[in-house]
Amino acid sequence: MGIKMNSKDNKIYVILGAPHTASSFIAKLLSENGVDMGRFGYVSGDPYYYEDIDFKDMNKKILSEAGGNLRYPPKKEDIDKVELDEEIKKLIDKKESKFWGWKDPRTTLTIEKYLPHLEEDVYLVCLFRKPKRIIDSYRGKSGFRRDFTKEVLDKYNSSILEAVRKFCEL
Amino acid sequence: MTIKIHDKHPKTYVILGAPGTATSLISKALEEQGIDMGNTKGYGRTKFYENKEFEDLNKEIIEAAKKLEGTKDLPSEESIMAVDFEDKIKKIIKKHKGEFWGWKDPKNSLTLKKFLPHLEGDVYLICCFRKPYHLLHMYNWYRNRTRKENRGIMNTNNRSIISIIKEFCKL
Repeated sequence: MGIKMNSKDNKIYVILGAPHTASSFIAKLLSENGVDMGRFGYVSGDPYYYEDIDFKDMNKKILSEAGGNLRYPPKKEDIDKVELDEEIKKLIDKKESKFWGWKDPRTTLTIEKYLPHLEEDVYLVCLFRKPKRIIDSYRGKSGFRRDFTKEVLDKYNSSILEAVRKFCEL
Repeated sequence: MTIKIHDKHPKTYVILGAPGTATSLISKALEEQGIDMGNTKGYGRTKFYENKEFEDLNKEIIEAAKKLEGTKDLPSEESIMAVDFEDKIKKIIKKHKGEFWGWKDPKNSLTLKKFLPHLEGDVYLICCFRKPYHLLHMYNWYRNRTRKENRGIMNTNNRSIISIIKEFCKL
């Protein structure tokens, strides 16, 4: 049986995962299976990590207003205080595809800002990888802090779990 | 930037999610990328891109846990962890393990904690969740159960996945 993207309901797929958890790979797979994963930047003709530029910009704005960024995650209560509801709603309303979604690692920290505005059939695809592997993977990248620690990783993962609990009404 | 999966390091992908949460879509997509999802070994292709041998073992674990607990409903995590299937779990992993491999069976949402100690190397969990309103709508349409029972099944699966993630990520 082929799995067909032919449901009569609109569907939204949000990928959540700390950096280095194969989120680009999963975004690529969804994109190739008929899900509109947004507007990508391109490097040498290939999509840049399959990140949606519009959501990436919005996430940067949310994190910045909360006093942090991807590498230095702000406190959750500071993210909660950010008031960008109108802009977020506008961004979501712009999406016209029947099956769409997005991936940007920052969404791991900001997802709760979007959930109240996602009214259709929403799927969260949450990605996790053995912590030691992620930390080792970071250490191989010169652009990231060598002291990327389990503490920062735990912030990403805890944020996902908190959002999942609310999303699943648990 | 090209996304490479077949780098030099072997990888294991385990898909978790209650039925109806797009786990088959993900499993199909992984298989199409050359990851061995065990969909064809021994049994022929399955309808939902599941590994039939993992499915059979998971059924066996859940039945044993039900018997231990004396329930017809889904057993508790404690009962699932209490039943002894170490040798069978080691054997099935050894049989299917490859360079780039994985598997999907919705029952793993309840049983995966038993498998975690035996999964070595670079392991990824892909955990799928869906808005309860839509998932329950689907369950109510297709299945001969009460709404309360459907919600119970959904919640049990989701709670169990969260518990597995916490253990996997050492949170």
